[in-house]
Amino acid sequence: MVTLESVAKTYQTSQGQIRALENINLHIDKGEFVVIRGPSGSGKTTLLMTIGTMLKPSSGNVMFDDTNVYKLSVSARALFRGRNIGFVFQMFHLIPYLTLAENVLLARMRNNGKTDYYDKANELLERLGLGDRIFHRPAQLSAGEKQRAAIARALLNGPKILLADEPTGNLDAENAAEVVRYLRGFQANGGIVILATHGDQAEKSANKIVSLKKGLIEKVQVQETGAKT
Amino acid sequence: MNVCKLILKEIAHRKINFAMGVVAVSTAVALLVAFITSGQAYRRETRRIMRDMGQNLRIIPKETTMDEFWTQGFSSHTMPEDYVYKFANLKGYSYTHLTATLQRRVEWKGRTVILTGILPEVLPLDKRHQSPMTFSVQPGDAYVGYEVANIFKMKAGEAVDIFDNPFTVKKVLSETGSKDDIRIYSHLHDIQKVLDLPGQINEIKALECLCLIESSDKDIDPRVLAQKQLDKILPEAKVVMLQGIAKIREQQRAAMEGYLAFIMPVILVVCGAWIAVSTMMNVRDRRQEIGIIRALGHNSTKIAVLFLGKSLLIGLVAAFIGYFAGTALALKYGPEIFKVTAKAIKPEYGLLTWAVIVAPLFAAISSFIPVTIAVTQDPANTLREG
Repeated sequence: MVTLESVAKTYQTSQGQIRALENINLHIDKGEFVVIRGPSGSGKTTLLMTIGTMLKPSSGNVMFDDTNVYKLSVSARALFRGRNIGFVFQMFHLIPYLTLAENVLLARMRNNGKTDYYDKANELLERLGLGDRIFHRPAQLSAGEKQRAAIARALLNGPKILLADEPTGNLDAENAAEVVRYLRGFQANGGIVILATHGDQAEKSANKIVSLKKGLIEKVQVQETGAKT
Repeated sequence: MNVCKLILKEIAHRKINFAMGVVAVSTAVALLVAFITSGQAYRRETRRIMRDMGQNLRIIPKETTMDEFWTQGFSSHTMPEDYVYKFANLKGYSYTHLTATLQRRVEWKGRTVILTGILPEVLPLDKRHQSPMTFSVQPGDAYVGYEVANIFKMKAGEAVDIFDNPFTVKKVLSETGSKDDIRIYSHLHDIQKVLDLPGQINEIKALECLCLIESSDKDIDPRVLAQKQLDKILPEAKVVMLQGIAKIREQQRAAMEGYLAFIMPVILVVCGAWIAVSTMMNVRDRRQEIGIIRALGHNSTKIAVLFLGKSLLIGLVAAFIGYFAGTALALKYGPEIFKVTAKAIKPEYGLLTWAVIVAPLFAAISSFIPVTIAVTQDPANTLREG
């Protein structure tokens, strides 16, 4: 589970301080599908990055089970992130000069035991409907295919949490629905999905909807979707 | 996906960026190689010229102090006359002209003159048909310097008494504007008698001297080599070498090296800045790539290795290109710039080893600041960007 305790994030700029997050307290259980919604500038991405161990909060704690991730060293935190957290972004962020298989394999963590990454990467791409595009470059794919490849990359190390920052922002309705379906599949297997969006499609699949406004949690809605395990 | 593969794939994707880096480092390497190769050829040829076009040796008594020698123009010490014959028979040396002289500054009739006794030139057997370079004075004759003749109102054919020794003025020499204007030349044996120094000389001059050297001696300074060889038969003598040509060439070489010492740092700074800018452009192009690599759990070291590895590869490729380009430049333009013969210029293979070690380091060091920026970039910011 993931617990945020009085998390705040303040940026210093030439125009003064910007409080991106303020007094965030949140608890997310295993198997939950959480949607973070809010208008642009409300702090959705900041919250996601903070949970994702990529953005150290100005104050407060981010706990993964009993691990206070921001107390770890930078390299230990990177390793933790690689093993436990998968990211999916609106812009996909696939490396243009690598094939799909190579993009997925980029997530490979060296000291992760004897996992056969090549087989796993192929299996993931097959499962996501990209089995025949393994040797294609991102430029040769559609937006939906790129996002599925990004999901495959995020899943390579068997993470416990998937963080998705507006993953359907560049997709049409059909592809967006497909992406949400894959995320729900991950959740159904006991994973935590935290999805930042200002759309509505993903909200139907969520157990919990966290509404942000100007860096503050406005409200937390819990809804019954039958998705939580 | 290992780092080497990632580096090579990125290079294949951004060929122009890679090429820019290679051009920058190659330029620096090529110019250095060209200068050093040409400079080495210049040094070799200066020595060759010294040897092949004739060294002019002055052999003087070993006790001579050089400050006195250069002040007077001759030694105040003497050595046996038969040294000139020993030298003439020395194996491993050849010469075109060999003269032995005895010179002394004396007060004669209230004026300072330099009495100069000259032995008829010893020519090598195979060159006996050649005309001697210096005039041959017969016993009893005197050749009088311009100023001496002027002071004492001497004319050719006159009888003159030099310290109770009778001479006939054979010729009054033309004005030279040098010490020669106050000389009185005569046969060596006559001057030995006048000075009461029988069988003595104070200088042997060997002109256009060729030294047959062994291959192990070829890098030894020619003067040192000549002394080494003369020590075997003329242990009481030492060698002074008229450096003439070599001195001029040495000055030219020093001037060239001066220019090199000025230009090379400028070239290195410009090429280094070029690499830094090129790497910075690469870092900017790849900022989202860096962000995603960090998001995937890879640490700063991996990011640094990606960029530094590329820089090292740039340096390695540029080392080979720069070496061959520099050598070609030296072969093509070296003779013109350094005033050497084309034959003297040859590839300096040691420079290739140097280039292969130094060029990658140069590229990596030049990339240091951009790589630091890449490593310290905030991935959270870059991944927000569209």
